[in-house]
Amino acid sequence: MADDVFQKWSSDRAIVFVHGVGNAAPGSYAPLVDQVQAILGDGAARFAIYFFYYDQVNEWFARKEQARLAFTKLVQCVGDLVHAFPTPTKSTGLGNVAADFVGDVIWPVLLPDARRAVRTALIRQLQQVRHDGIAAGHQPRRQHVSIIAHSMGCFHVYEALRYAAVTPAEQLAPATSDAVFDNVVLMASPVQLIRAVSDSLGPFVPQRESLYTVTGPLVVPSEPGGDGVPVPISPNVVSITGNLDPVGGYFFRHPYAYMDLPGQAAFVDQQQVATVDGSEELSLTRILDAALRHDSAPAIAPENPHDWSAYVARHADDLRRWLA
Amino acid sequence: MCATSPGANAQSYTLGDIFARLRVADSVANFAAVNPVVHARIAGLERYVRDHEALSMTMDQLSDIYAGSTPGYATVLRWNRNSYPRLPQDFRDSLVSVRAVAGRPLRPAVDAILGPAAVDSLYAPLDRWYVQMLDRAIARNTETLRRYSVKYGPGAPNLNLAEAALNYLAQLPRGSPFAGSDAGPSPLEIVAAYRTTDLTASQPTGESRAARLVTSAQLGLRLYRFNSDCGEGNRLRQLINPCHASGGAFLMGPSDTPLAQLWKAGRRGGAYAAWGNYHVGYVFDQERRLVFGLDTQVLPFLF
Repeated sequence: MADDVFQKWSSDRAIVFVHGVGNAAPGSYAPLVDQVQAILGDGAARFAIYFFYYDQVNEWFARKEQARLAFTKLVQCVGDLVHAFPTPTKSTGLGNVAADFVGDVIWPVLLPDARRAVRTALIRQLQQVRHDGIAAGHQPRRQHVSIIAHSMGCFHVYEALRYAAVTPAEQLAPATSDAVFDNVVLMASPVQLIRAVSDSLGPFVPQRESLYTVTGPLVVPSEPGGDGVPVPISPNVVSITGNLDPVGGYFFRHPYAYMDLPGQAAFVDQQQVATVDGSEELSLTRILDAALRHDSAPAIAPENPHDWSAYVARHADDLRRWLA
Repeated sequence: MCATSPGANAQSYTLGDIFARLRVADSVANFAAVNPVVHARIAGLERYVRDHEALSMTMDQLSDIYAGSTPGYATVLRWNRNSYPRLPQDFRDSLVSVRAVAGRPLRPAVDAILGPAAVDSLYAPLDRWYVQMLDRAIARNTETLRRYSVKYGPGAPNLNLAEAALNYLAQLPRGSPFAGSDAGPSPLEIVAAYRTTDLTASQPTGESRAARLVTSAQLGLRLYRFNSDCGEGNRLRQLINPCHASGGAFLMGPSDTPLAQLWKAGRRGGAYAAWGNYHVGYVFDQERRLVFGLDTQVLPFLF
């Protein structure tokens, strides 16, 4: 397990990025960090930037368990859930991409140690963030820390924050540590999807009580203050998805597993299946206009509805406002 | 402004110092009038702590109790046995309440009156205590991750499909010793291995004694040791101090041949013990054999 990333704070602010599924290694998301820094402009220098990479832990379990066959079961559950997955998705020939994708989901669901290992690593990273802030002379109550997560990273953030909120000994609970996160921005969160999949797996999900996504209602993590009033882990928990993003709980513009926590700020982006000359406005007028302007066929490119960078671009103004 | 015990400094803050600061904050925020419930709670917590003669407890002692785990031997030895109070099981809850009250709603209320700089000075003992607990939490989680690495990381034994299934099923029952907890992974693991590269020495009729490749099966328990330095160093040190050991039932086929079917009549039974990746087995039946082998998988996923 790689050691946590230490950062020297130049101010009282930090951002923690948590990536989604796939094979991410340190540096993989440097362009995304550049994109957010560009959005923040001159103010970007005030932020200590942390990126939490956890695929190494998933790889431990993938190698140890050697249970890729189990992927099929989960994919079938997902397929059944959305009712309309094409037949090849239900076969065993998913390919490595699908295996990685599904594997990132299945380990935390079926293996309690896998979910706890990533959760422990993320908790430790968040503790290190607080520690670095203190080293820079800012007590946690004066620190402005935001978390921006994508896809499966939202699940790990949700699990870690729910656990931290009820475990004061981790020193991240909002009331007893007197520190909240300025923003928790979850993009294309599969939390509701995993909850549904886990329900379909029934008793085959071990130690359900340690899986906050499954146990009890989905809520913004909070801890009772000294007066008994719940203190939320963040005053601004945001759930963003696209209406074509199946991981985020939409299937062809129909919601089926969108994460909707009471008290969260909810955003559902209007997505298009393709872009015309880089624009998401997909209309006959736009196509004709592009064709006439270039005197040739317009550049129509398929859109990845789950693209983290696209989410960030669509919410550039929001991010600038939230992180200010 | 701050009524702390004389000579109190960063190293010698006590629970009494913390309550002294809380009383000041409570007074500044005028909680007796504006938030009498919290005002009474602070007084009640202090009374509870005083009744248990715990006001003189140091940050070290408080941090041990707050972590919710049994204090380590070193901590216990540091305590003055004559002066260390007898504490009830729920004493930790009272410490959590102290921090909760100090955090919300008291601190924001005092912030609004005194401003951040004065509050940071007032809260210095609480902040010092927090840093100490944060350091311990980071150290604890680092150790937990190391244990996950020992059981699942590079160098850990791989499970074949049978073992993966058995270990998955074994953790399903509530309270199973094979299930991990928030403190880390279980040290136990089921072994169900079919090994095709074990070695024994035998002398069949009319032949000379020679080393032979034989097939064996193991059904047992693996115990992860989680020592802080296990599996480290050169090969010799790894052999002396491995991260896991196992033992259990051992099976061999009726003859000393490789790739034998162990479920046929005439199979020989015995026991094995493994230390790290090396194991030795012994079968007791009429053709006794001592067998050595490595816990390596020749065919990934299978055996």
